[in-house]
Amino acid sequence: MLSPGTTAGNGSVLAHLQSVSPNACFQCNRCTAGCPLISAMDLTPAQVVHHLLLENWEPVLKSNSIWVCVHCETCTARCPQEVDISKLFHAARVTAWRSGRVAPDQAIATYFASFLENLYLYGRSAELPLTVICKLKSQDYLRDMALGLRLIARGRLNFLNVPKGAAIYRRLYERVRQKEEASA
Amino acid sequence: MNRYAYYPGCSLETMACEYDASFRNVCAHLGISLEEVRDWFCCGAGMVGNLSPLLGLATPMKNLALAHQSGFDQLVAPCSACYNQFKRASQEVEEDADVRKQVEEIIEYPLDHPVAVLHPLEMLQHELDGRTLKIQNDLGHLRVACYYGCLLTRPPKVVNFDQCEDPQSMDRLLQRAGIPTVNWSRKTFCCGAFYAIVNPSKVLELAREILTDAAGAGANAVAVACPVCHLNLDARQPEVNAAYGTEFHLPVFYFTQLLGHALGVPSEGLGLWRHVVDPQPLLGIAGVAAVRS
Repeated sequence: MLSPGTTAGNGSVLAHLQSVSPNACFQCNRCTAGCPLISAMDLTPAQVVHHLLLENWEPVLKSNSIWVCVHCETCTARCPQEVDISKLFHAARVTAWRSGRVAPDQAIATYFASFLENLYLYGRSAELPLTVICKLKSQDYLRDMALGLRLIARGRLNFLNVPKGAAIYRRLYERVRQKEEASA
Repeated sequence: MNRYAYYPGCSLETMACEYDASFRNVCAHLGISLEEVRDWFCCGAGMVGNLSPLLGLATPMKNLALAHQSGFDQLVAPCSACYNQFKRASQEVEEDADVRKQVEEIIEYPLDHPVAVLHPLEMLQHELDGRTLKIQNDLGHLRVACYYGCLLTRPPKVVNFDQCEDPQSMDRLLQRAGIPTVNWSRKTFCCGAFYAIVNPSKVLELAREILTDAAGAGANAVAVACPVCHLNLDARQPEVNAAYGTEFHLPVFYFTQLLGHALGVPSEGLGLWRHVVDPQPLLGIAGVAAVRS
């Protein structure tokens, strides 16, 4: 796996992502007002941007907000100063992951890891195996069970995709891993 | 005739197989040529980029390269998340020569000729321009709330799709097929997407807001263009009713199913029985018995 702990090399795409600027923000809070998941966040989007503007990464990396965001892009679309808030969240999320600062209780991080393992195996997101991997990791077996059974009854979840592009994805993955390890 | 590379995306093979079937059948009915990208794999779904931004760009760009390799310069992606990934990666590669060089190195393919990425709504609008549609089934009794969701419409500078806050293209397409649509305010409001994995109750709250708004505007059906929107509004509708004591019974269609039915595509080819909220009575189809659970 691409491991936590790998940092950004100079000129890398990660460094490029981390250079997205929060500087134009004047704290109008339009991002916060439009956020559909604000009630589940500990820091508001405007607070996240403000911390980053002060180059104060620590509270942002420790926040749950960066894991709550689903990148619906409402904030970015509405920002009058054209700050790409959603991309700042993305940068913070990658940085938190790479520096090993993901709290173990962040279920969404477990989901991301399961998604990537599943992708490495299948090359496509096979929903049923993905669900199994995720449930084994989180040991939360009952959640959404009724939903899953509803989908199975309608022939909408299956194991049987034999993906052909898996080898192509694996090759990309290995090439990125080698490049990132070489520049770390 | 235009040739389109077709990138179904993972969800259209499983959870949203009725979106895939109805889109292919509508295209066949209209004489539009779709050719599935050979050896396509996952677009990254916004997940891969969280762990490695470089891999997050290489994954969609390699898929576009596969389409280009087979001689296509335009690709259709029906899932909003795939569509968004392709548009975003294409833009980042185009805007920064250094990023482009790194991606080219990983995918081992030159990105000299961009592949245009289209959503079926854009493609159909273009293909049907100036054509008169032959309507076989009258759906004038429907009142459809067209739900566009997030990733199809935002960010506007990346996707450049319709009007960001008040899109109309799905409404116009359905209206051309004789299907009335309603004006409502939640058409681009987020359904919570995969946050359901962490906190299903929060997503039920958002789904309830969307369904309440649609019903309040007089809709008797919702049309969507994304598998995740469909999952949260249709398959979770019983949970919404259980959590809030509501009695929603709003069928949620992929817009391709409604278009297909209006144009006379045989209903077996639309996968309507796969929905949780049975939409067949509303369309007057006896059809396949819906699954109860």
